[in-house]
Amino acid sequence: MAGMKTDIEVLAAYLGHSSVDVDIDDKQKVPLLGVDGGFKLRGFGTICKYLAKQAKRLDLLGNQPEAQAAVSQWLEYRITQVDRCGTDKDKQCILEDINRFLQKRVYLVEYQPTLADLLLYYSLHSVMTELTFLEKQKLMHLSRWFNQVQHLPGIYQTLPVVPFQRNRIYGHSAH
Amino acid sequence: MKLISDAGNIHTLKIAIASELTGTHLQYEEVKHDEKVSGALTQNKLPILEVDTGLTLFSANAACRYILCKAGQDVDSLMVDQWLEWEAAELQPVLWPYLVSSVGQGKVESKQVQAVKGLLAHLDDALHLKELIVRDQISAADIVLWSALFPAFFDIAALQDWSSQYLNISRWFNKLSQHPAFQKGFTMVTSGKGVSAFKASLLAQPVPPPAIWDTKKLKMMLTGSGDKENTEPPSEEKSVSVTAEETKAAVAAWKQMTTPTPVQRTHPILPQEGKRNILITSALPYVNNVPHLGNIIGCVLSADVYARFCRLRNYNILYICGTDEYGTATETKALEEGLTPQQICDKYNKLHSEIYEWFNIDFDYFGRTSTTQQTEISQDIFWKLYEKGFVITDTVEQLHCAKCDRFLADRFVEGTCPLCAYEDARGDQCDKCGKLINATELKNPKCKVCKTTPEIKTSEHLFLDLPKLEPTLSTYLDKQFEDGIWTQNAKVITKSWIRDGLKPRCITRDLKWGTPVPLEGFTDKVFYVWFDAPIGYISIMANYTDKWKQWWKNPQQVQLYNFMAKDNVPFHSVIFPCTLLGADDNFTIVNHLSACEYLNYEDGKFSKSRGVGVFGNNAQETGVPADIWRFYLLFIRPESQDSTFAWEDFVLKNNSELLNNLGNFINRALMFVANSFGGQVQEITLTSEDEELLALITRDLKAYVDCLEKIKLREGITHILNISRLGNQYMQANKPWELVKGDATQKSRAGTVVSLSANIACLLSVLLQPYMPQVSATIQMQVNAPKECSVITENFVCLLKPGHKIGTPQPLFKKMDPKEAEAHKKKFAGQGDDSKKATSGGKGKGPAAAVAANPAEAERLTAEVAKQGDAVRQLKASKADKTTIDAAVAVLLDLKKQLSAAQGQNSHGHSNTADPAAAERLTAEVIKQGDVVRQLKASKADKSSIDEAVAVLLDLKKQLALAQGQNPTDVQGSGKKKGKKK
Repeated sequence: MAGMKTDIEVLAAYLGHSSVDVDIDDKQKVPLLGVDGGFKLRGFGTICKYLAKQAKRLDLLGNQPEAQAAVSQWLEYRITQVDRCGTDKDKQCILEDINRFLQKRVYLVEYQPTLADLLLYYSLHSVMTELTFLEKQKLMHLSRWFNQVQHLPGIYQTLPVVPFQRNRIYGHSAH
Repeated sequence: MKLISDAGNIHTLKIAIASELTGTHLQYEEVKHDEKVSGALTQNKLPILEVDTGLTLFSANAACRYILCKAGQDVDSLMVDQWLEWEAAELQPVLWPYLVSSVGQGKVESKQVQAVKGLLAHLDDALHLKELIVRDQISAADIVLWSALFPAFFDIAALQDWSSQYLNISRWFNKLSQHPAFQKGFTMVTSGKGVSAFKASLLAQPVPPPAIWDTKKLKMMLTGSGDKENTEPPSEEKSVSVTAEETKAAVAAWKQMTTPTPVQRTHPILPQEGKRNILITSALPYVNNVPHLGNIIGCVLSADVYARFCRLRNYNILYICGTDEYGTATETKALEEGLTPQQICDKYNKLHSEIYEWFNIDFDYFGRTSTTQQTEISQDIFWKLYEKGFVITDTVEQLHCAKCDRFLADRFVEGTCPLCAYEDARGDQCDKCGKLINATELKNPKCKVCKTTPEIKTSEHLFLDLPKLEPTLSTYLDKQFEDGIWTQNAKVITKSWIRDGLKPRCITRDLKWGTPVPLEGFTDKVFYVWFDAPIGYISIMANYTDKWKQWWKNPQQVQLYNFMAKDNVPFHSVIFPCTLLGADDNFTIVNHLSACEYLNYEDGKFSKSRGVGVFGNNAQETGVPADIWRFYLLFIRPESQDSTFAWEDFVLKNNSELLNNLGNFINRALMFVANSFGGQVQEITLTSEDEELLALITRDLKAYVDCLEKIKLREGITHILNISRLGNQYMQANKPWELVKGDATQKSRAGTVVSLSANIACLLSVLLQPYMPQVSATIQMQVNAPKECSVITENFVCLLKPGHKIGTPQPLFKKMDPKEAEAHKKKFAGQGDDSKKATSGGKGKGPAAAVAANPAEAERLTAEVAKQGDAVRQLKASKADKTTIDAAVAVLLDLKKQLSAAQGQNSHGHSNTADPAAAERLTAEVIKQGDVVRQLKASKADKSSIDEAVAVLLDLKKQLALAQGQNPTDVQGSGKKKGKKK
């Protein structure tokens, strides 16, 4: 699932930051961002939140404590689970979990896109690209969400649009 | 808020402390370690904090901070974010496995200890000269880190010297340990049992994945570049395994020596004793319209697929259809085009036949209703109904034109709308207010032909006494619903008609173009189309063979299948059966009825008048082969709900399913046989993997047969694609391209793999035949398929035996260019809202001036038109003198004309300015392409490639016409087929 450095750069571009200086901690492989005063901010989620805050996009972080907590937990989920799944079984499991979660929801948090949606979208992009139409149909809610997010204005930028079917094409007995 | 957790969960400690610290009351529910809790994810099981109905937190860190935040005690600092993330992303993946070893199993590896120590050093640095992690207030970072380290520090086995080694941590940790909130939290979670209380939960909860798996994976993660080898989905994701019996049966079938021989079709096809005799009809298309894609998929194409399938099953089947030609609409059209009704029918019957031929619709007979047989049979059925007392007489009020000496059908009357006073309303509907009206209610009615005022006359008509026939019908239908295949919509529509009560229905009309009524006193009338159109099925058959009664008076041996769109259901399930049941002459009556829902076009409906959508004749012009159209239409067949034709989706399905799945597999399989084995099928030695593949294919094959038997055409395709998918997976897993380079055993294995694949290709060619007949024929040519393959059984039999020589493989499908599709989409998008008739100013066909639609201008003009309209009305009301009124009307008319121009009407959508340079270039190209077509024809190339070249040529000609400033539709005539569009 996609690279953190690239994702930070893509996010920064989306938020309108002219350029960002991202390093990778060689030993722990954690991204670092140099901020004012020579201090280095550590961690993917922390950096992304910082960038959103700097861009005054508080809507992306959630306006209420509830939404903020939800955004934080999805960032944590991306970093600790999605980006780290080792086997294809884990990957499948994650896709199904998110699919189930999105069954009755438009976005991951409340009713508008947040950092959680953007960062999970970046992370899942390569996996979604590789799914067959049958698999995408099976993950209907995830696919619907993904398609929604990738068409948000200004989102996909450098990432290619992943195609989705407009209607169900496989029958129930398809395996 | 409710906390759900198992006992002794380390993460729960974080939430418990936060709740103690803030005095937040939490409802607590203890569950078993492995209990499934709603809201939990597979990898983040427990604890769960249910905040409210909309929010469940599965991250303890987020939950901890949230509780502080709600209590106003959160420290809003990036440092808290950073340390929470560090705990989750860096510390836990190392610490958790350490604890599992140490607390759970009582021993740790030194590597684990080293890793934990590395992290502690980092934290120790950060706590240098600090009381707390962030500022001087206890934050979520303190709680979370303390909770995480607590079990490790109390289990002192390996980290015994931690307090002396990490002085800063020690200071910070001990201070917090004395805090009452931390102590209470600890007691609550461990129930006072000490660190051992963590053990069970620790072993039961999922281990967080390591931050880094291996270098390859890492590289991929950090650079974001997809390393194919690592990311490729597993080639064998068989979620359904086959049983031993299935495999055994599949292998036995594979080795079967004899297969049924396909039955040759010899006309006339007649029912045969002891066979399944199937009569298939598709709704008769009305002659005066060019069918659009929705019409095609709705009846003729669906019936064609089923008919082809039945032939492949060796059933004795007959598929008939024809054009429905009688009625008012034909008369109107004839008046419009200045032809006789018969000429109109001849012209459009030919057009229909050509379109269906292009779509490869394989009728056994395509006839028409304006024949003498139609008259004979309709009159005969009428007499039988009459004699049995099912025909009654009643009077109807109708407009009669004295000058034309005839009763006027609704569409032949024009006048002032009784509702909105619009002066140009038609007899059936007002174009302005859109309300349905009764022709007799029109004010100031005029005959459309001679403009004289018609009178209301009462006229006697004949009615079919449906209420009297209702009980017989219900009994008949009950049985058919039970035994036959009826789509859900067909049943629902039929039942609702019967439930609402049947009424006598008028079966005669005062027209000339129709089947004459033979009864004395009614001989100047004809039968109403809905009465005699379904009889067309019978008369069309009578034109096909004089032994038609063997089909139509043979309900014991014949099963009748009707295909149609849902609007036609009542005529086939209620009225026509009533006619035949009433005539009581041992007629074959509908047994199965398959009704389609509607097909929409892009975001709206097909509309001939607005030029929206692809019509039968346009499909050909796009250069996309007929089979590809068939495939896509069947793929989106509106089987149980309305569906949509979308160009974007069309491209997608072609490129993903046909090209990448089906085409790719067949071509790959055959190319291997051709290139590596000299085109010869090899000995096939089945391994257990092959046997399983046979079983899986057999399973899809059976499902395919089952779907098509039940007329689930859309689902049928998915099984074909599944088989091809299995084939692709099989090739991918066995990699014959590598095997073929190996030793003798490997080479022979490669032979098995490709030969088995070639057999799958052969099977696919047969299964595809109902859907894509030309593609099927091409594949069969490429595999050099034996004749006996053209039978569909439920067995996958080895038909290409070792030693069989295949033909020359060639790619089957072409990639569709999204840009081209975009161009088609634009071309068939119509010309916007064409309300030509509603604005009296723009009634005639104006000159083809290039006027672009201008919404702002249109809006302004609409307002002005309304204003001027009011002025005119006022003048009229105040009885102003005629010249003033006339002047005002002239202004009004002029405004209306401007309005219609601003709305972009009259423009044909193209700018007609000539472009000489382009014209020159295109002339050369047309000549060149013309040569290509001639050469192809001379060399007797296959039909599809000729068609393709012709399409290119036509397109070039059209472009040329545009460049020359002509209207391309005028030039079409010089092409091969006459594309009459209006």
